Amino acid sequence: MMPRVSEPDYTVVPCSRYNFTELAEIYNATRTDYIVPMPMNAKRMEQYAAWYDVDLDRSMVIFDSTKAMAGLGMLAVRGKRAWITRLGVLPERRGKGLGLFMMEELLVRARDAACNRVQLEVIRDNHPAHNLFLRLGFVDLRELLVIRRPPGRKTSVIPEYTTESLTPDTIQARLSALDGSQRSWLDEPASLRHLPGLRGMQVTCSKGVGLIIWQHSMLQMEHLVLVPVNGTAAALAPYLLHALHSQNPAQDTKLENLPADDPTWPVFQELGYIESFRRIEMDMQL
Amino acid sequence: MSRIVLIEDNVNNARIAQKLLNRAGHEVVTAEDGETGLEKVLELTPDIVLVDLGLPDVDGQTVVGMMRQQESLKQTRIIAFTAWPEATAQEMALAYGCDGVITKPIDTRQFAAQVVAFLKPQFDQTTS
Repeated sequence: MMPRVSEPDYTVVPCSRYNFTELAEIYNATRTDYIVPMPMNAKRMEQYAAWYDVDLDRSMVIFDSTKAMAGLGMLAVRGKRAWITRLGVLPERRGKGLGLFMMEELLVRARDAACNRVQLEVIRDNHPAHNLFLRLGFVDLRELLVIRRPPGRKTSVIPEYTTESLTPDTIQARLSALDGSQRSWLDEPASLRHLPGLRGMQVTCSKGVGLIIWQHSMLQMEHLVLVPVNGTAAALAPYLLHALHSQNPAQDTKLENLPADDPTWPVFQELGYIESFRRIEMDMQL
Repeated sequence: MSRIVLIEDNVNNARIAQKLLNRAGHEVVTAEDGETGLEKVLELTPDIVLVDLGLPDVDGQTVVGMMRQQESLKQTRIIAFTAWPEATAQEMALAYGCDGVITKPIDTRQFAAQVVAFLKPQFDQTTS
């Protein structure tokens, strides 16, 4: 573990002192030159904080030694686990150790919250950030895919199956029973249960029975969850995804953090999904 | 003269792009987010839509996907306007039905000509 940066002239202010419009503006300013710019508006920032249990008191906006606003870093906490997210320094303020300072502060805050494990994801090829996390003691766990499926893609012909819509109560019960140990922070049960607009269906086919649950909005489907009830995920996936897309042909679809070695990835590809970018999931024991 | 809708959340980028296109004689309507952009495109049926893939509400790919399902926009050229790495941008943009990609930062000397080049017949969706 590297020795702490000592920079008494840096100031941190809790994110809870800012409204979501301000937080979104700060966040966007840190990402203008990012590999994959993904700006947020106030509504999305508020949703992000709520859905992923971001602790705004423990999250921070940082000011450099000239008292200029310089960056942002957020900490989410679930029990003994913490997640660092939205970390960024304004392009013109980089190279002064502000990212390192924020990371060390966030790790202290995670310890203060009685966490014994900290997770994060970094976009693959963001070498400065990845190297910073490695130097702090984080280790690479796996690669995660962010995949997309444009609307209007043809679905292949597959053998017959039947579908049945799931009730909201059934969806919540199924999500609560999900094994979250192999899922990323964004799509573990604690996140999924927060999401509005959840829909689901049960699919019965020659390969068994499975469920597909997703978040549905007018333009997009996200946070897909494939749950084998009887059978394997890989065998059921063609039917689950065919059912989803044939019933929702006009929806764009996005799935974040599918493990790159997940056996269902080839099935997604056959149904027209393409890789948008990759993240590296990392963690550290405190 | 072409009618262009520019969907770009970065105010500076939008201003520069609009100015360059205005100088080249084109009418430009701007929108700072995807939902507003979609509304303007459906209202105006422009010749060209320039859409940033990284928008703050609904991302550019989703906006393009929605536009490409509209019969009224079959003749409209849709160009992804992005800072993404070129190979990634090309694959994503074309998968969603864009006619092409212009990467940022733009070349201010070439930008207007690059945009209007997409009006040439070889980019006609109805013949692809």
